[in-house]
Formats: sequence, C-alpha cells, structure tokens
Amino acid sequence: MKIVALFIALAVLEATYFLALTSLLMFGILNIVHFMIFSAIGFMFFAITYVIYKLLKLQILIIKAGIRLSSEKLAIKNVVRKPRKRYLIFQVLAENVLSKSDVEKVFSKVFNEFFGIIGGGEVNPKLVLYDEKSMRGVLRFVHTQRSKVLFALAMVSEVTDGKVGFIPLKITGTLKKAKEIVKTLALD
Amino acid sequence: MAKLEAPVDFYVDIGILSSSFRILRFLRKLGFKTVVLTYTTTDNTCEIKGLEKNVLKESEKLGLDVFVKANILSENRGYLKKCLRRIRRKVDVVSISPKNLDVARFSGRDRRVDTVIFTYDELVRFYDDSQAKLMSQNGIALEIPFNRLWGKKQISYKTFFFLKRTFYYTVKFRVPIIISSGTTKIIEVKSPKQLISLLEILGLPESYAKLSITTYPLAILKRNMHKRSRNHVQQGVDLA
Repeated sequence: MKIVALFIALAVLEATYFLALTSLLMFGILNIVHFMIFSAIGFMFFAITYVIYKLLKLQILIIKAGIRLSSEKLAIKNVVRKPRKRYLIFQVLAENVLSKSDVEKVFSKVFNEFFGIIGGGEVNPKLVLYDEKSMRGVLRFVHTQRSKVLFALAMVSEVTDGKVGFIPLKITGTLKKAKEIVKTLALD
Repeated sequence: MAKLEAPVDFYVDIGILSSSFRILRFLRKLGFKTVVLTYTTTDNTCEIKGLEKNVLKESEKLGLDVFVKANILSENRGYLKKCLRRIRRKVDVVSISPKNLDVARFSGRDRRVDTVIFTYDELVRFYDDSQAKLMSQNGIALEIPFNRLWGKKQISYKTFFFLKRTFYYTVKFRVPIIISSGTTKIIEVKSPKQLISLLEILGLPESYAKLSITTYPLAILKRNMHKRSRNHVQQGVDLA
C-alpha cells in the first residue's frame, strides 16, 4: 500500500515537471532543443520509477508466496508428526465404586458423543491402568490431542448427570513415571 | 495491597455447597490459588451474608485467597438497580445473570457490574454484536460457568456452533472472557486445564485461553480491591 502511494506521489511530481517544461516552452523561455533534452531526462526518471515500483511489487509477492509455502510445510509437518504417547493420571469421583469396565464405558461414551469416530481416532484413548480401591487410573492418548482429552474428562459429569466426575491430576511421558505417580498422588 | 496469584476459579457457589472445606482443599490441590465464592441473590431477596470465619481460617491454612461475589439473577431493571446500590460496596465482585434482553443490555452498560454470566440459553438469546460492543466499551467481562453452561437440554452440535459464535464476537470486540467452574458439589470441580480446554477445542490458542483464568479475573479483583480501599475517591482520583 505504501509502495503504491509512493509511486503515485512520484508520478504526480513528474507530471508537474512536464507541465512546467511545456509552459516554459510556450512562454519562450526554453528553446525546442533544451525542451527535448529535459523531456528525455523526465521520461527516463519516470521509466526508472515505474521499473522500481514493479520490482518492489514482485518482491512482495515472492515474500508472500514464501510465507504461504512455509506455513503449508509446517501444516504438513504437523500431519506427518509421529504420534507420541502421553499418560494422564486421573481420579474418579463417584458415590459408588466404579469398576474398570465402567470407566472404559464412560470413556467410550464421552469420546463418541463429543468427537465421533474421526476425533476419537485422532485421540486414540486407552485405559492402561485402573485401581478400583483408590479409583485412580492412567489413560493413554496421542500427545497432540491434550485439550480434547481434558475436555472429554470435564464433560464426564454432564454425560453421567452429575453422578461421576473425572479429575486430571498429572500428564507424563512414560508409563513408568505414571505408575509411580498413581501410587503417591492423592486429592484427599 | 496483597499480591494475588493465578489461576482463579471465579465461581464456586457457596449457597448450595454442602462440603465447602473439602471443595476448597480440592481446589488448592488442583492448583487454584484464588477462589471467588459466590452467593446467588434473586429479585425478592437482595441480601448478602459475609464469609464464615471457619471458611476464612481454612482458606488461610490452605494458602488460598478467597473473595466474595454476588450473582444477581434478575428480570426487573428497576429492582436490579436497587439491589446493585445495596450490594456493590459489600462484596468484592458483582455479577449479573440476565433473564431478559433489557437486563442483559443494562448489565452490559452499568459500570458497577464486573461480569455478566451467560449460560447456553442466554448466550443464544442475548449475546450478539451489540451486547459484545457494550461490554467491551465499559470493560465488563463475559463469564461462562463451565458446569452451568450446558443446561438441562441434551448437548448437540448447535451448542458448539453458538459457543463458536460467542467466541467470535468476544475476540472481535475484545471482550474479556472468564471461564469459571460454577461448582456446587465436589463432583463438579474442574481443574484449570479442564476449564481452558473449552476454549482450546473451539480453536483459540492456548496463550489466549490461559488469560481467561489468569489475567482477566485477576484484573477485576485488583480493580475492585483498589476501589474498596480508603485511598480511592473516584476513577482516576486517589488520596496520596
């Protein structure tokens, strides 16, 4: 935008220059030879301005294309990123004790309801570990889908009409560490 | 002035809470450092009780900063004005849950109001570009209580469409947004990351989503603490 404005300003300046030259010729101050020389210089400047303007515009277009290409590359990089595992340690809050199959049912219901087959496939949740006594468990998921998993856990109380609540305690990168944390971490 | 720390749970309903101490302990363990306990008042009973000493002691033990909020459920603008006049100086934060368009617009305009609480039905009916503009101009925040957002109806794709529309207006007009839990019982307690996941799954970046439980609620609390201090005379005028 600034380049266009600059080009217009220079063009107006050069038009004024030509106007001044013509008026000087008409009043007889300039002879025809000088008029031709100054006009040629004016044209030369105008041509240079135009070429520079076009070159700058071209460069801007190239930069924009480069940015788009790099962003597309980044998007593709995200798609082909190797899905790494993350382990979420959670606590179940419920009046009655829930078995492992109950917890699995709740997970499949909530993921199906909110993310469907495709979203569920992206998250790939799996209940790795569940201790009925302490009602704590470990859920495995893909590292890029953290917010989806957290949202699904938050929606459990809505799906079960406020009878069951899942609270995330910690997210780790290895199962070994997750197992250690399950033993030590407690809300009460 | 005491130094406040984030994250903040801006809506824990003390009126219905049966096991308040346990919930406070839970919230501390989940990482919350500031909690706003909420009393709900209606048009008929515009009264606010103070915090019980036990709650204050317990929160001090836990290292939690506790504030009191009045949530005014109202259909009548005249009564709402009276209620605001009576309550404003007694509590740290004032929120309004509008039940009709008139009250929604009024609450978006009145500077005594800190946040306007919208659940799903109200978001669909009252939250449009005019409401967002009004709230943005007067520095009033939009508050979405996570547990109360969904209502009794079944959650469908429309819910998320309207939520996305809400976030569009919020970002476009730069309305501060606060996500609170709206907890009434222990099962409904949500961790800070669960609260911001609502914004993240609808496409907002994490850095922006985090503001909804850190910067925006803390700014309101700090502003109101300053307003209630003895040095404050008027907006922009303080005793040296």
